[in-house]
Amino acid sequence: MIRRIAKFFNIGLPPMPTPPPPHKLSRAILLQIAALVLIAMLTHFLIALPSVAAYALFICVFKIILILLGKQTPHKLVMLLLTLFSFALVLVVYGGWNGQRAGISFIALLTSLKFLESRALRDYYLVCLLLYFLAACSFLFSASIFNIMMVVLFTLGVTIAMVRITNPNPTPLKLGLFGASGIVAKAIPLAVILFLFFPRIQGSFGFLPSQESSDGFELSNSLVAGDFASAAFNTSPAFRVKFEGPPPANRNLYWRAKVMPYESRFNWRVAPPGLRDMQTSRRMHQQAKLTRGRYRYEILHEQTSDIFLPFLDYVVGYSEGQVLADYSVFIRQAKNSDFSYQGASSLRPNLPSAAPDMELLLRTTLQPTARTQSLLNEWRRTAPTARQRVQLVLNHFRQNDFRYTLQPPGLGARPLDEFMFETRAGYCEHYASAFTILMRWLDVPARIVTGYQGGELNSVGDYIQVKYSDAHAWSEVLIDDRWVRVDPTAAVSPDRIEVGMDAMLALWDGSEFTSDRGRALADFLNPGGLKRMYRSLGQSWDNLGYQWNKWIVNYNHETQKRLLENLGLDSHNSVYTLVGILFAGSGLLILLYFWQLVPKPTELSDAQKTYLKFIQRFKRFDLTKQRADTPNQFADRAMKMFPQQQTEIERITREYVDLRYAKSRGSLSTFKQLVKQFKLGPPTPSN
Amino acid sequence: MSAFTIGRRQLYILPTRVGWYFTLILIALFAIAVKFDNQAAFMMLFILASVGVMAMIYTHNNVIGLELEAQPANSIFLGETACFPVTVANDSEGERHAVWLLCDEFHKLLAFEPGQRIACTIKLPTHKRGYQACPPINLSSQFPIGIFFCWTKRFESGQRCLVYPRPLDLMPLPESSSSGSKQRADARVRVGAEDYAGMKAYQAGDRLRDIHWPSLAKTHKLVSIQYQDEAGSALSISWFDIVNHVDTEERLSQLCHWVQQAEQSGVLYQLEMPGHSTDYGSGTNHYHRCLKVLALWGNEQSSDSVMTGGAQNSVDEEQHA
Repeated sequence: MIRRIAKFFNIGLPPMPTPPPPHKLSRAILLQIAALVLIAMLTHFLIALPSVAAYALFICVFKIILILLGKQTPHKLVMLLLTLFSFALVLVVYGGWNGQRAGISFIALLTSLKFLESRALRDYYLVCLLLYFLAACSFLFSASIFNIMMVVLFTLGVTIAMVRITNPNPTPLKLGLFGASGIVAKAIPLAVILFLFFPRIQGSFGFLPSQESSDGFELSNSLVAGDFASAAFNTSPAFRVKFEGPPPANRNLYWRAKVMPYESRFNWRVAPPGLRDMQTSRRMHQQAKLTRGRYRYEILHEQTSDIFLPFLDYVVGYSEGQVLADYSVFIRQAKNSDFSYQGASSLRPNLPSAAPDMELLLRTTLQPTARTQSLLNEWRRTAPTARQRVQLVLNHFRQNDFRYTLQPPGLGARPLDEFMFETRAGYCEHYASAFTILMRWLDVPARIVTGYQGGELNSVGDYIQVKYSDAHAWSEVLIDDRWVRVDPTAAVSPDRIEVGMDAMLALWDGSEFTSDRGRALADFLNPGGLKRMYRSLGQSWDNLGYQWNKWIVNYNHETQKRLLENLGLDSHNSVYTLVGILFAGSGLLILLYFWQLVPKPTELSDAQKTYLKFIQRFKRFDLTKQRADTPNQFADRAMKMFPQQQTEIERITREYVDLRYAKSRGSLSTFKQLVKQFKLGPPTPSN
Repeated sequence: MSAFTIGRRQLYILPTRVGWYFTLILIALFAIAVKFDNQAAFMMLFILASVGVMAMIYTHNNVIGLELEAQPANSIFLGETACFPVTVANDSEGERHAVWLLCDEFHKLLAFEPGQRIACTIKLPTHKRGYQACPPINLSSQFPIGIFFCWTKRFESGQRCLVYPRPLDLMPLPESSSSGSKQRADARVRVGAEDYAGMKAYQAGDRLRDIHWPSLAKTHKLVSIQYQDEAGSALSISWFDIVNHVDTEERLSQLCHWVQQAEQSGVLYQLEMPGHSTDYGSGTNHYHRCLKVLALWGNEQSSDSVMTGGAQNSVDEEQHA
């Protein structure tokens, strides 16, 4: 092919030798490739639907059996059937070709089928290349540091296989490992440089399937009692926060994500911002500054399809998105990978918001039953002000036997009544919902806020990790035209707020919190040796993941621009700068290469230098040594001119010749001494 | 003999077919990384691209600096394999893996320790009598991962191998023609009347009547009787001993066989060809001189060098001439 291209451009190619004969691969190499394919197909279970992965695995095992039996490929008809079936499988299972999962499954099936039908050298090469590709594609689903370590190891394994395939001499695994790790180890620094300086183009390739949302937990735009509780045990990280300066106390760590003013039968919903809200929002947006506020922090968020970003209450500055009148911050388009943003917050609302829509904040679809109504009437009587009513309801929760549980019982047709008088057990969302509805019934404007509360301080990386299990719901009431946060959960279970969700999880024994709460809590706060070690190990690992996400996964156009700025290369278009850098770098390398080819004069030895000094003495008398003269010829001429110094000249010359041409004889120090002592007298005319 | 060190300008490198596929994979990966703005995929892309670049450097370094040296080739008979001895030396401090020595259809895989010299023989079939030149020699390698393919400039070693005619025993040495030729009378071999010297295992080319038939019955082995040559007995092997209608190649083959026979029996012999004839003589040098005449018979270009002694090494001899 290349010959044809070269001919097209009128380039004469040097004659190529006859290709060497293809060699047969040994069973050991085939089994190594088989092991690699097997690993790839096993990890495919993590990504794809089990039926597809199992089918790919089956094909792979089929080939392994063939290899072990000493056969190569199955019959053509069998091949055809397997191929058709795999096409059909992808079509049926995924309902088409679109989508990342379908795409990667297709490639995985292709790899295993190619492996099955491999017989020649080139086929096995192709399998290796497909494995490279498959490994790289796995990053679309998880870019954790663990994953990339696995992938780099896998890449090394594939490279070993390629080294062993290429060498017709049987290469033992160890030798292959040696060769391949040499290449990969040398490739990684180059890869890092490329990674840092390769311009990130903001492009789109329409023919590729679009990003699929991750199937992890996400805060939904509505709050249904019992939803959060199901995520209570999901300890995967939602985001990590690094504070500039000391972080606030755990009880102040309220991460606001969404505000839900709409109520419908004990469920809550986010309000789409109205026109007036957007005007307020715009005004607030102009005032928001990162430099304001008490706390400044940087959040590294895991990939999410949510458009609301969590900020510490109450946000006063942000680097991403736009603040709404209810202090939640949204972005226009969800990010399709991990992303980071900066925020500034103060503990009180600082950005001036507009007067809220009172009608909305007091509206309830749920009507109080007679039983509740009597309670409400009593409260209205005893507490005339809003502030007192809040205290009264909180006290009601505190003083009656309300329980905080991670497995709340379901609620029926009259959810509030059942919760208030019968079950009296709930997760944060039950308390927040009930409290907010009660407030509205008591004519106090209130709304639900969802987000996260607390977070685990990672002492290794000095950041706070917030997990999905930290998801929380609380209330906000409007008192004297100011929004006040009220967390009814804190009234029931202060530990949840003071210590955090991790402690609650530690206390939870499956269906109930431990009876010996005090001791267990102390145990959690001051763990014993083994537990402490385990925890710090866990923190170190998480920190590794954090740094990885921060520096690698989250490296993008903007980070690159910042890096350039730090390097003193500030410019409008960072892409041009980067292309320039790449060209300059490679140009420099080329220059270096040619410079290295330029012949350099050989360094003079000490003897030569001293001899030159000796010759220099004669220059005064117009006696110079020509390039072609040997030392002896020069000495002859010199001795003719200076007969008195014949012996010295002769000795020096002999010493030099010995030093230079008979390495064993002659001593440098005597020679130097002789030259030093040599004094040229006046010349005597030779004739 | 000629030697050849592989420098930068003697080396070519191009991606193999697998290398092009590798590029395709990189392009696909780039598209994916950009589309999904996936930094890990970018990292993987750069690692793979760097592995490619490293592989190129490795492949290049695997062949550069090797030295090829050609040694003179021995003369052989037509039908035998022509052997061109070459030495490939690795004077560097690194190992070299999987280097192919390629020459026409011949290929041999070499691997070098640091400083190792490997002597190998390029074996090629012979098709024609006369001088056979060694085809250009190449070194080539795909080490380490087969995505780049590196080969050297053609090395014209200048080796020649003299191919003698194929010895064929078509007819016995005619007695009449021997006597009729202008040989010295006393030097004539008295065929069949020599002194008995002993028995030896039958060899192709032995006369049928020399075979000792009684032994065959006893031992089931062919044994032929050897006769002591008389001192001063001499043989003239002549072109004219063969009837005219036999074609040239067959004639030469027959003469070749007779020369072989004569050399084996240790008599003095002479080769008589139209136009010139060699002196009487025996021994390796004389033997090769005669065979060379036969090998180059009819070849105008080499006929001038025919008479200048027949050494083992035809190429060496060329240089002397």
